[in-house]
Amino acid sequence: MIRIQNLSKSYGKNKIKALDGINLEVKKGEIFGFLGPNGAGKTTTIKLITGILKMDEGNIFVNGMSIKDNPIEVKKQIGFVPDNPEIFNRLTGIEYLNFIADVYEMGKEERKTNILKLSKEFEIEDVLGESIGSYSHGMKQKLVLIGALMHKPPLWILDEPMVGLDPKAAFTLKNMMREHADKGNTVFFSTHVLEVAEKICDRIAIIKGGKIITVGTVEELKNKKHEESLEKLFLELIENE
Amino acid sequence: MSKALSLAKIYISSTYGIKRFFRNLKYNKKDAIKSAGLFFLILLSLSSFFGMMLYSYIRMYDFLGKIDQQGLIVTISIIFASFFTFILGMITVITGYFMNQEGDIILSLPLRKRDILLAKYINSYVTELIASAVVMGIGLGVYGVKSNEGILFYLILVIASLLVPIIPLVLCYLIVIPLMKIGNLTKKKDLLMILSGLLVLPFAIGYQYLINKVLVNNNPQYLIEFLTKQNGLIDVFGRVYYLSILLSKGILGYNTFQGILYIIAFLILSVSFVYLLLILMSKIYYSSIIGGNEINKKYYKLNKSENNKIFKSRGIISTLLLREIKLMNREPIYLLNGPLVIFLLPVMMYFVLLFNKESMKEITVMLSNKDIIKHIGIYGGIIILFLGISTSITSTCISREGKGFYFLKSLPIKAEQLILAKFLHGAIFGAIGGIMVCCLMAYFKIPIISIIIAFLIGNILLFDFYIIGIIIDFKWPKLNWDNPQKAMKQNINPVILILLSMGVMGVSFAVISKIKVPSSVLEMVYIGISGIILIVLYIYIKRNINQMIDNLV
Ligand SMILES: Nc1ncnc2c1ncn2[C@@H]1O[C@H](COP(=O)(O)OP(=O)(O)O)[C@@H](O)[C@H]1O
Ligand SMILES: [Mg+2]
Repeated sequence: MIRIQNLSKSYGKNKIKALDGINLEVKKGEIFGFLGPNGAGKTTTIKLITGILKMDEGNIFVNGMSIKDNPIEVKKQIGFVPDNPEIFNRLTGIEYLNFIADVYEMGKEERKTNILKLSKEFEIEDVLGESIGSYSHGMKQKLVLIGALMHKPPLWILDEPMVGLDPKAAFTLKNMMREHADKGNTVFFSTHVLEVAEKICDRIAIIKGGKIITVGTVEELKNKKHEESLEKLFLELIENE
Repeated sequence: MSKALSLAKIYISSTYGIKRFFRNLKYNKKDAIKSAGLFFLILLSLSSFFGMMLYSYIRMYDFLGKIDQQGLIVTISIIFASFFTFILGMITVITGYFMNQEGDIILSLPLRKRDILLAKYINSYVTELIASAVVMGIGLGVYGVKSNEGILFYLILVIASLLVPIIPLVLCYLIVIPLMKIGNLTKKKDLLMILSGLLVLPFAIGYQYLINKVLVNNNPQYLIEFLTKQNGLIDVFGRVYYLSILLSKGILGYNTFQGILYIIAFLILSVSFVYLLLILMSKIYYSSIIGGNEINKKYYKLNKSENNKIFKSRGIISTLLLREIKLMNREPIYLLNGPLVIFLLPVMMYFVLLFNKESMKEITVMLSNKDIIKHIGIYGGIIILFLGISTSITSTCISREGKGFYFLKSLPIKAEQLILAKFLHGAIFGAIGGIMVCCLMAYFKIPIISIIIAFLIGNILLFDFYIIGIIIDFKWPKLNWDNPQKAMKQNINPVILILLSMGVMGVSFAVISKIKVPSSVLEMVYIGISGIILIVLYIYIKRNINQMIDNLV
């Protein structure tokens, strides 16, 4: 579903590479966890996949299409939740969702059904009429999630999605991710919460200093290093580098 | 007190960005140059105003000198400076609420309520001081030089400039704090911000009126009457704000014991006013900033009967356009400095005509001037241009997105669609402004054909400028802000656009007065040239738009 080839990116003039030639393949039907310490390059990778940043080198293909050549078509495949949900504070929740629905050309009935269903599941249906500026961090997070999921994109890209969610919403989201992947779709998410990754990911990649250190299923990685918990493995991998 | 001072220091450095400027000078030259540029651009646009003021003071001194009344210059300077600092103070104080510098951090510190208000007061006072120094400096400077005053006079001038804004600023806080408190209680903060912003308007118009009356007046006889007769300016102002007379007596008698006593009295009174403010308002101020971010919760359940209205699907352009309009008009700071300008024009015209019957006459006389009426289509067009530009809609269209712009980039929206929506947003309000101006022209019985031409010229010019605005805001956007204030008021791009339209205005006046061609030819030339520029700009933006969006990191 996602194929990342030799991807490099550096910010500004100082040319410190935020990403240094990474290669990655994410398959259909899997939940892929992207792990790494702060500043490793997770958000940068995600911004490149979603077309927010321009890559210096390499290429990214989503469903066989290059983000360079077909940005709009690629973006239509993606439901994206950024790490910081600070968006459009002066719109109300429902206005925001309608805007997103218009952008993804959703019909009236479709958006109605999906918005009502998702906002009930995430328990924010009562505040949809209010200005987003009055939402708490978690409520904004939920709203952006609903916006990203309601148009049923085959690929979910979530940057630290569990941060700021209450336990119940996090649980709901985890179930949704599983359901989504089981239908043959793809979930790509970054996190530093290891136990989440350990429990729900089919495969994970660990990134540090702009380089992929290791990729594989949780089991594979554990076997490789003879470690019983992912946390130990994670710490070891990012320490002994 | 010392806590208040250190808090004030924090406020001041965050408001004026002086520290950041020096840091940028070291590490980030580009940003430093940008802020210095903005400062000089603003200075440049004000310099003609100051120059005019200086010139008028000199002339006025000569008039008044003949009848040995030159002391009035001092009184007038103080009146103007007090008035001006009051207006500016209202704006500063209201802006202070917008900036919401207190944040949660400062509120959580163990500071006394009185210290917070005092710190805030000092912060605003710094802005006031600059204004006061300029206005007092020009007037009293003229007086000092012309009367050959000694060095002591200039020392007094400095002291007076320090003293003048103190009381007007106290008054501003006395007015605004209770209003904001009500805003907080009723959770209608935005509405009250807009209302109190509008409150400044009549004062600003009154100020403009006085300036015109006193400084630009050519008739010395009339001027002296206006100043000194019963119910003249000084009489009225002396009654409304008697303390200003106290200070002017002090300055004029600065080399006498009595004069010094007057100044000391004014100082003591000023300090007592501040003290009074702290006693009366500290608590209310505190409660007016606390919870300032709360918004009225109007629990709005999605109920089934309304579904048809709630879930409405729109085309991509109209949904983007609607988003632009909502985001701009719902942010008070954007609204006040942007689209509202268009709607204030007729209101201002109305007040000017109401208060000043003569200006009505002047306009009629002007409009009966053949040379003006001949080219009224072009003049009208330029007024429309000016009004449309002053909305700052397109010249801040990227900056206003702030950090949200990155998210917008992740959505499958074509760059052309996004830009078209931003352009249309400007064009719609430009057209509304155009209609306003046209109505005004119709009111003065200008031929319909000229009105149509004015509308055409104005709007085509505006199209050019709107695209230029989009391009420059793409080139130098201000995306990293935590307060919408920064996207609008600390943004160099609208200033550039306004200066550019002033350039067009200057060139037009020169062309009209120098080149004698039939008006219809000139009008065709205007439409032709701006049309060609429009096509060039269109091609440019079409070619480069994707690149421009990509370049924003
Ligand atoms: N806008 C930016 N400008 C300059 N450097 C940046 C910017 N965003 C991220 N970086 C740098 O790129 C590196 C990777 O950051 P990021 O992708 O945000 O990491 P993560 O999401 O894994 O915590 C860090 O060293 C960070 O400092
Ligand atoms: Mg990150």
